[in-house]
Amino acid sequence: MRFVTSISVIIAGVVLAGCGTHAVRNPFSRSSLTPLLCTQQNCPHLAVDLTQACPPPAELSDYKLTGARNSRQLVWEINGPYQFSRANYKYGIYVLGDTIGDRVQSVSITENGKQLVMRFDRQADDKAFSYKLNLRHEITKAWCEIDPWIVDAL
Amino acid sequence: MRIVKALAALAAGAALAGCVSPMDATKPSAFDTTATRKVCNTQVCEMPVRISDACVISSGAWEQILLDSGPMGQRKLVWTIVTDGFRFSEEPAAFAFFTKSGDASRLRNVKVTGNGKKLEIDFHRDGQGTWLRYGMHVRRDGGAYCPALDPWIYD
Repeated sequence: MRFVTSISVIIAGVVLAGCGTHAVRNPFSRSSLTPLLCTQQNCPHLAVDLTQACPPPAELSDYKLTGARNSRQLVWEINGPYQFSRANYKYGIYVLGDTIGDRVQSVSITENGKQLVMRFDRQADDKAFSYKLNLRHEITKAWCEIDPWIVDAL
Repeated sequence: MRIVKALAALAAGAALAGCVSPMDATKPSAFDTTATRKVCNTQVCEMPVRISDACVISSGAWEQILLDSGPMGQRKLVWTIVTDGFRFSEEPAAFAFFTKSGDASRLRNVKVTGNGKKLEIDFHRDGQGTWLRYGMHVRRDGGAYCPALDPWIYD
């Protein structure tokens, strides 16, 4: 009986760990920081503060869009020895899933790799989207990856 | 005492599954025995891709591509969409091929050609027994994205 119970608990552990699933991000990994609110067409810049080591977890505030349903310009700005990657197989920003892709109108990397600009088609449906920032160290070329969220709030 | 044992068993379960969270995994789950596998032992690996009307890739985009046989060094992977009405994404923020984990420096000349129908990658095989996880993005000719795939390459 005890053996059966132990097996059950191990299986529960596997399920809790979320293993065996595909492309499902842990919903509890949202940032605990105060979100950066964007209420107008030109959003305030979201600063990405990094040390040499890109310390994991490098937590970043959610980019939270509120107000009118329109096109928004979101800007991420790196402070530290990294640049946004331009490699097409690991670009500076990458959106996961099928719904957010349709909202991203354009993306560009500017300011010598220090700034990333996105045009986002706001739908105001209270959906939250995870995305990935891919950064490269300016000298060592080591990768730094951060997994924050965009919230298209009501 | 029982609680301690239960917690230890929970931790063991998670460890057995080989991952902390699915997005951070560095190799496929040992419990995933149903994954579709493509054994590629030639220098060029051709994979025709078919997509259903519901925007689901129905064949050709293997969940695991096994490159642990065949020549070392430069290998080429080629996916070709053979279903009308779909193409590989060329948008930078949702490009056709995206490296999620593993050594991205082994990839070269990642490109979409043939009016969006073909995805080509040069992969440097070193036989170290490592996994590379990637995302694959396909969209309708009208622009809408299909759900992204989440497969692996094994060297």
